[in-house]
Amino acid sequence: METGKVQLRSLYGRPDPVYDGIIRPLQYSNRLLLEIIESYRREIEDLEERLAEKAGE
Amino acid sequence: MMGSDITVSSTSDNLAQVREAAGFSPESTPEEQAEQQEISQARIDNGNRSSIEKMQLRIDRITGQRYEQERRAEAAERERNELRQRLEQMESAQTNGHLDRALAAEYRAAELEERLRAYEQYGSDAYANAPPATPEEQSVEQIPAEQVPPPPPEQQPQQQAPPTEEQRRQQQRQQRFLELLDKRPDAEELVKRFVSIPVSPELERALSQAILNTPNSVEVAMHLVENFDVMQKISKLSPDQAQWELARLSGRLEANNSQPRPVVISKAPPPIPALSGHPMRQSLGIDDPNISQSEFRKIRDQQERDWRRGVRR
Repeated sequence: METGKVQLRSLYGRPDPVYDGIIRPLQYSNRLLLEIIESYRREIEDLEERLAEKAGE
Repeated sequence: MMGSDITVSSTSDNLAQVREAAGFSPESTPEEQAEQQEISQARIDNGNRSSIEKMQLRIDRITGQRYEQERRAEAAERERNELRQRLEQMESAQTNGHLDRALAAEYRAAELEERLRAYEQYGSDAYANAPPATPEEQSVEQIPAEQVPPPPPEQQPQQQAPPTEEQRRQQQRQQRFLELLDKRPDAEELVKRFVSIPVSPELERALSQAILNTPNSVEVAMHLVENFDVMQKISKLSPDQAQWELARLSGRLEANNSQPRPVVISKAPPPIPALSGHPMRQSLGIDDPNISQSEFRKIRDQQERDWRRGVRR
């Protein structure tokens, strides 16, 4: 009679089709999106400063 | 055998299989069903789901985050584009404003110069020949109507005379200057840089006059706009010095751009051709140090033949 299973998954370096094929790419693209958003945020701040300077002139 | 509770448990078989293994019918009692439902609910509440279910939930969560971040990125991009557009509009408005002011000042200087020339030429009666005052000048020189003598009737048409030849020439030069400037891809930057140089009003008047007096005023103006350092140097001079400097610059540019001096071709008849014929060869003497052995031999043979014949040289 089985008493339970322990899933070691990728702890032994064995590729996991779900984790390595779906979750990890999704996480990677999410990180990229976060970086893009951050760069947009910096550019927006810079543009707002320049607009304020122009308005001051 | 005393009745005792038999506990049959399994973590892999379902309840019907467990009941069969214990010798009961597969149908579970209402109490067992209720207990089974309670356990299932507790498992769901505790997050004890199967691994596939957990993976799916995780994927759903990450995908949801991704959609959310995509929406944020799009919104940020829209905001960035809008700000860029506003900044560009503001900058172009400022640049055009500078350019318009510079052109208006140049045109005004030309106009004033023309009027001054008319005054110098015709003396105190020259107001009839002078070009009409601009509206802004009229507003500055507001004179009460009762103090203004009515102009003679014969002078009316002269006051609205068409632009003089000089004015037309200046307008053409300004037009050419603008066309040249428009062809430059960095025109906006050049103009922006040019108008950023501080110039006193006296110097500005002197420069306008000097530029308009030069025959190559377009090239001089273009050179000043293109060469920031030259204009900066001129801006630090006095009006007289600046005029001299512009005259020198005009001369230099004219010399550089002028056509090469034409070659004058003489109308004289062509020179006589060189004499033809065989070159005269001077015979070498026997005492010549450069004489070859064969020539020496020839001379000696001739001497010997002459001696035999009794010829004396």
